[in-house]
Amino acid sequence: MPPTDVQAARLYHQYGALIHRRCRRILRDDEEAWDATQEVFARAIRSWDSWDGTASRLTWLSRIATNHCLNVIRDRQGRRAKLDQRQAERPGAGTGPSAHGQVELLDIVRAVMDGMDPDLQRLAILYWFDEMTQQEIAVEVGLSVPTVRKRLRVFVDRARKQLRSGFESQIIRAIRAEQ
Amino acid sequence: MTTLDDETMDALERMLTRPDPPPGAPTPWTLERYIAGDLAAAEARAVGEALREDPDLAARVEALCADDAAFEAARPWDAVGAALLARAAALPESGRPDAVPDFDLLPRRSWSKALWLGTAGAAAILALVFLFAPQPPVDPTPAPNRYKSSDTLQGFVLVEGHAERIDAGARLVAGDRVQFRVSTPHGYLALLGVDGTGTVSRYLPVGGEQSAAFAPGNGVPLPDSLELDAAPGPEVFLAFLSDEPLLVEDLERAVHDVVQDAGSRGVLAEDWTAAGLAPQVSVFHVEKGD
Repeated sequence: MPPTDVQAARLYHQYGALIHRRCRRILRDDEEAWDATQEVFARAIRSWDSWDGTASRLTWLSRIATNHCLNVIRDRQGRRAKLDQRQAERPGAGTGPSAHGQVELLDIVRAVMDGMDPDLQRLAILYWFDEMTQQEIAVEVGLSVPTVRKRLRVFVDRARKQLRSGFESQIIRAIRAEQ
Repeated sequence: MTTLDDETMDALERMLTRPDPPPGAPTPWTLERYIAGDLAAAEARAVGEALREDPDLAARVEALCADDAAFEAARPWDAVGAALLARAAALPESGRPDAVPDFDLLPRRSWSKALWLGTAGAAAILALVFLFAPQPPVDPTPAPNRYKSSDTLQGFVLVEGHAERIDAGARLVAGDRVQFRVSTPHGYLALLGVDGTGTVSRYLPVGGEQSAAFAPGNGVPLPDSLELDAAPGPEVFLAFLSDEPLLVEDLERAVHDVVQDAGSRGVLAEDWTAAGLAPQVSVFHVEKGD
């Protein structure tokens, strides 16, 4: 049974800003984040009965948001090119950790996440975008803290490999552009 | 480029090994949950204490609240709700949109299952204890402005299914439904009312002799709305907030004494905080009549 209009409005009023902020951190694009926020609430309303109460409403919404944002990231085209052009894009859309050099850390995580296993993608979002502690993540996903740590280590190792090849491609493109 | 690569990877590595916050210090995710009124009473109380002691933390929460306010101003439900509901209706059935992948990728030792079952059992017992504790359900309503002491008790009137914030002293009519949100670091709440005839009513706790456990936070909605009756004059609401449960009978008696001495409007003039009944007392009133 779908929620009443009042129930839907209340869900939006209580969590709308939080979900939007989260989508914005993950997607780093205000328009995409707003579209994602609407999609999250639309799916929540459409699947109202799928909330079984084992997690809080916020956890439920956050998981829907994570799934949708990962899909958005997966669907994006020219991700590497976007990363290259990051310097020219407007700053400040993200609210995550401060910038390191010319490319923000979250840009790196976002860019390399696409090729990862779904569980690694999810851990990366919880750790770098939501800034959860490893303990909080362990509770959220039902793993031990050491296992969370190991999986994050796997993420970093794979990210290192992807980044290395990505930046090599960047150099090659730059050389070709000069020729 | 190679140097940048190394720098970013070093940053990634540093973040991977970033230390957890000190014990008791709220994490960023805890702050988000605090603002959303999503924490249990004890946890929210701890966050409230941490905010009082750490200006940087308080500033971060202020920034989050400012972002909330900007979102609500730019995209209020009244403006986007219809389109959002239509979008939901157009979606196909999707089963579990919150489905998560299988995290159990690594083999576990046999004893871990027993440990897990034991933990789950303890958690189930704790959950039962929590379920039967007098916790009011969190019922989302429009987010108010936050962090002003005058905003401790915020009133809303329900109009055609939507909650519209009202100022203290707003004129309403019998039959209007009023709802409240509370911003407080305290974990216990008693809500009393005094109508124009001087009758003292108890709204929270619904039952029991002590003030109700409450999930402290900012703009936390109270369960259910109150329908104004036809009694003439002002309707005054008093929220008594504390870190320990209070005997409601004591509060009712104190309010009744003030009504006896000074009438219903005397309740408005009373310095309730100075009366020492509770660490925090917030008063809100509406006027009834056309």
